Amino acid sequence: MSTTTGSSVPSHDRWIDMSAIMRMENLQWRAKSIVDGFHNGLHRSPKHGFSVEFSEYRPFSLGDDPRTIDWKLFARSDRYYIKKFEDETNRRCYLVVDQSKSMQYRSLDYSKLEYARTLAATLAYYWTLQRDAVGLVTFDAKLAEVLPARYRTGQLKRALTMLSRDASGESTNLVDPLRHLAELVTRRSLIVLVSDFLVDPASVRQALAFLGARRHEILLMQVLDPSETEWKQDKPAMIRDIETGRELFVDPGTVAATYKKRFDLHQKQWQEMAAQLGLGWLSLRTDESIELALLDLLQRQQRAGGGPARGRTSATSFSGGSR
Amino acid sequence: MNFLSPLFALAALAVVSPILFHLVRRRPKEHIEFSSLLFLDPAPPKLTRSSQIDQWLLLLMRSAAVLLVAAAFARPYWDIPVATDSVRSGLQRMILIDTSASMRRSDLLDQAKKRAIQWIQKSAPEDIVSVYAFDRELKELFSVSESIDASPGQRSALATASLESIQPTWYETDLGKALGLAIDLLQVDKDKESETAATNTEIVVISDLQQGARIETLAQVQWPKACQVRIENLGNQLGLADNAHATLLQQEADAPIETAEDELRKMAQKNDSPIVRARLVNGQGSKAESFQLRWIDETGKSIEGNSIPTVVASGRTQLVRIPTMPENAAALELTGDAESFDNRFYVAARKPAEMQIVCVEATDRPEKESLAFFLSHVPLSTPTHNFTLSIRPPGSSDPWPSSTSAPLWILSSSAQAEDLIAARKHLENKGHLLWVWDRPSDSKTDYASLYETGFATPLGQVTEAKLKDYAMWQKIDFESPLFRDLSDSKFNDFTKVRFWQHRRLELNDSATTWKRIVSFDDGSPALLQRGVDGGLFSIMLSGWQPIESQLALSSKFVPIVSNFVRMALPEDKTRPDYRVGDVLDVPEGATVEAPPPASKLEHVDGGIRLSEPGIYRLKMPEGEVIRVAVNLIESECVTHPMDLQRLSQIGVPMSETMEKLPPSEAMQRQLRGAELESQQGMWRWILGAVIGLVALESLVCWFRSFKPRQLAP
Repeated sequence: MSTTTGSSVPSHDRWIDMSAIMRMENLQWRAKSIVDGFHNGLHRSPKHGFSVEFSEYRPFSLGDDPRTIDWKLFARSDRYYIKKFEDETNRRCYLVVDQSKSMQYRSLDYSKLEYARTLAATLAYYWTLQRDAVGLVTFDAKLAEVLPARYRTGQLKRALTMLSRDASGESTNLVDPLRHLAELVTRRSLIVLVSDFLVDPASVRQALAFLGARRHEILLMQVLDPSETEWKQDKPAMIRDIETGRELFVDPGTVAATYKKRFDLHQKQWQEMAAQLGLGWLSLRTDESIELALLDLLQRQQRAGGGPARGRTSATSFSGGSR
Repeated sequence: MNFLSPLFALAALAVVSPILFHLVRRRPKEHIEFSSLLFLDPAPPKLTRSSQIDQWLLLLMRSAAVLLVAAAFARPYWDIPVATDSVRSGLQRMILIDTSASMRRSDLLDQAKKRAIQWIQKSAPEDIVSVYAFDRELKELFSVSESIDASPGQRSALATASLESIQPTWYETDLGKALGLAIDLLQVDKDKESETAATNTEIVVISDLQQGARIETLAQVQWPKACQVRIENLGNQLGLADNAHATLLQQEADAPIETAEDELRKMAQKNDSPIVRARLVNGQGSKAESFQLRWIDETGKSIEGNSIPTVVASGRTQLVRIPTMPENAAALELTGDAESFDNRFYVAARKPAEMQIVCVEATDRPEKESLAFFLSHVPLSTPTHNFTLSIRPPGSSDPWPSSTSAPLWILSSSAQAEDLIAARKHLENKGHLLWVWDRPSDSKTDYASLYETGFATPLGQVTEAKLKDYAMWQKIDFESPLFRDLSDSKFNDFTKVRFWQHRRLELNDSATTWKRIVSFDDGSPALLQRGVDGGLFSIMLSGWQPIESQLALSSKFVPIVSNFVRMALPEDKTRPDYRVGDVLDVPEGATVEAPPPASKLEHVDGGIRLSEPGIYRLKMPEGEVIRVAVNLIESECVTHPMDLQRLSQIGVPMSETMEKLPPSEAMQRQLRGAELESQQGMWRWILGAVIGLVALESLVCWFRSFKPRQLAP
C-alpha cells in the first residue's frame, strides 16, 4: 500500500491476517470476522445491547425541536429527553465493485477481486450493523448487476450472494458504469467504488465529476496486488495483458525504474484528481488488512465530526488523498 | 608468423557475431500474465550493458572458436629461414618431357625445352635435378644417379645440356607408364638419395597432355608420401587448335553388311574396283571443318583426279567412302586441318596370292556323290589369298603342283597308290593332306593296303560300320584349330549332322601317333590327324556328300573346310599394316628398308622396331619385296587437351603449376610460403583446437542446463 505510511496508522502486526481470512469460503464469515475483530480492537463492540440506544438520549434543551421529545420516557421519568437516531438509518451506501479481468490478477493466494469482494462484504456487513441501507453494484465494461440500497431483512444476504457469484468480467471501463450509476442512484448516497483504478484518471475524471455533482459522497477504494506496486520480475519475459491479451517484451533491467516512476505518477494523478473533485481516496494492497479500510472510514467520519460512524458526512470530509 | 591466405583472416571480423548474440537478449519463451500494461513500454531485445560472468566464459570460448577458424583458413606458418633451407636442399626434381608424336605440332617441343630449362634454373644447386624424355617409354637424358653423382654446381648445366638431344618421336604418349617408371626410379635411387638430404620429390611433367595420352595404369601406382606432380600443360597454355585425322578402314567388300543400302551398294559395285572406307575424325576444338582426302604415291605426290572433299563438324566423326584405290597409292592424305603430323595414313596394298586346292577324285562321279562339287561351293578366297580348286583324276601322270602353291590336297576314295606316294612327298614338303574315305571299303578300295603302300607302315583294320539308322559325331575336340571356331555353345551342336554310313578303323598298335579329333557315336574314330614330317595328315572316315552324310549340307561344312585351308596356309609373319612401335619379324636373310627421309632402323630382339610411319620394304631372300605400311597410333592423333581433373581423380598427387615463368619475387615468396605452410600444417592443429573448444562449449552449456532456474518472484 503506497499511502499507508502515516503515524496514525497502526503497525501491520496488529491487524488481522488477511491470508487466514481469505481461506474462509463464506463471505459473511469473512466480513463478520473482520468487523467483529475490528470492534474488539477498538473495545467498541456493537453487541453491547442498548448502550448505543442509550447514548443517543440527551436532555431537552431550549431550542430543540419539541417533536423529538421521547414522550414514553417523559412518562416514566418526568424528564424531557430527545432521541436522534432516525438520521443514520436514512443513509444509503452503495458499494460499486469492479469485476473486470484485471481484478482477477493475483500474486498471492487470492486475487484482487476476491479481496475486493471481501472488502465489499465487510463494508456491507458493517453498515448493516449500523442499520444503513446497503446497495451493491457490480461492473466490468458495463454495469453487471445492481442491488438497490435498502435496509431490510435479507438485504445483506442478497448482497453477499451477489458478490459470491462467479464473474466473467471483461476489460475495465469506468466511464460507462459511472454514468449509468449516476442515472440509477438518484438519491444522495455514500458511494464506495472498489476497483484497481488501472486506467488513465483523465479518462474517468468527467464521469466522476458528474457523479460527484449529484451530491453523492464518493470514496474510491483502490485494490492493488503487492506485485503491481513495483516491478519485481528480474527475468526477461513476455508480459501478457490479462484483459486485452496484448503481449509485451519486458526487459527487467530497464523497466523496473520506469515502472515505479510511472506507477507513482499514476497514483499521484488519481490522488490529485480525487482531491480536486472532493472524493475520498484509499489505496489498499491485497496483503493488507481490510480493517484498515474500516478504520479509514471511521476516521473520516470522526474527522467530519459525526461521532462514531454516525456523523453526517460531507463530500469534503473524504477529500485529502490518503486516508 | 605469416599467413598464406591473409584475406581469409578477414573472417575474424565474424567474432562480432557471438558478441552481438551474447548482448542481444533472446526473446524469452516464458509468458507471464499481468494485470495491466499501463506502466510498461515495449522493450525490443536490445543490448544489455553488462553480462554475467558465466556468460563471459561462453562468450570467450565462442569468440575464440571463430577467431581460430579464421586463423586456420588464413593458413598460418612460421617463416623460419633454417626450415626453408632444409626444404630447398631436400628437393628432388625429376623433369619429364613429352616427346611423343603429338609434340611435333607447332613448336611444342621447343616450348617444352624452354619450360624445362626454367624449371632447371629454378632449382637450387643442392636440389637433385634429373631430366627424362617419355613417349611410350621413359628415356633418360640426365638420370637421377647422374645428378646425384654430379657436383651440386654442375647439375644445372648438365641437365640443361642434356635437353639438346631431345628429338620428337612418332610414338604415342603413355603418361601412366612414364610416371610409374619415374617413381620406380626414385625408389631405386633411394639409397643414394639417402646420402643426400633429399626428402621431397617433385615430378614435373612437361607435355601437351592430349586426350589420347594413356593414363589408365596410373590408378595402380603407389605414390610415395612426399611426392608431388606438377603438370606443365603446354596444350592448354599455348592454345593450339585441334586437328583432324583420317583412318582407312577395311575394304568395303569385307565389311559386314549392316543395312539393305549397304547390300545394294555392294551388289552394284561388285565388279568394280574395291571400295574402301575411311574414318575421318575432327577434333573437339578444331577450327577447320572442310577437308580434302586424296591418294598419294610413295614419293608423296598426289595421284591426279582422286581428291575427295569432305565436311566434318568439329568433334564429329564421319565415314567417307572412297570409290577407287589406285594401284600405286601409298597413303591416304588429309589436307585442310591445323596440324600435318598425322595427316597421312599409309597403305600397302598387296595382291592376293594365287593358291590351289588339289582334289583327287574321279571325274565321272555324279555331282551329288562328288566331294569336289561341294568343295567348289565353299568361298575359300581371302584378301590375301585367291584359291582355285583343281580336280585331278586319280592316278594321273600330270605333274603335281608344288606344296607352296597348293598347300592342301584332298584325296577321295578313288585315289590310287601313286597319288598316295605323291601325297607323302607333299607331306614331307610341309603340305597338308586330307584323305576322305567316302566309299565303303571293298576289294577295289582297300584303304588299309593303300595306306600301307603309300606310307610303308600298316594302319589298321578297316571295316564298314553297320548302322541301324544313322551315326552322329561325338567327342569333338574343340581345342583343335579345326573346331575351335565352333566351340561356342551357339555353334557346337552337331546332332543335326547325321552320317548314313561310315568306316570303322581299328588302328594297329604301332599306329599310336594318330590323334582322334572326332569320334562317331559308336566309339569308332570319325576324323584322325597326324603330323607327318612337318605336314599334317588327316583322315576322315566318312564322306560329306549326301549319299554318305549331311555334313556338306550343314552349316558346319564351310567353317570346317575353311579351317582345313587356313591350317594348310604357310604362316605369314608380316601383316599388311602395322602401328608405330610394333616389332616387325624379319625372316633370316631378309633385309628391311625404312621409309625416307630418316631411313633409320631400330633393331630389337626378334626384328625391327617400326619407329616411324611410312612404307617399310621387306626384301625376302628369294627376291620378293613385301611392303609394310606403318601408321601412327590413332590415340596419338586425339590432340584435345586432357582435363587435369582426371589425373587428380585417379590419385595423382597434383601440385599447383607455375603458369607464368619465371616467377616474380613475390611469387617465389608465395611458393616458399606455400611449401612451409604445407609442411607445418598448422591449420590442422588449429582446427583441432576449434573442435575441442566447441566440444567444451557444448559441455559447459549442457552442464548449465542442469542448474536450477531462479523463479520469478
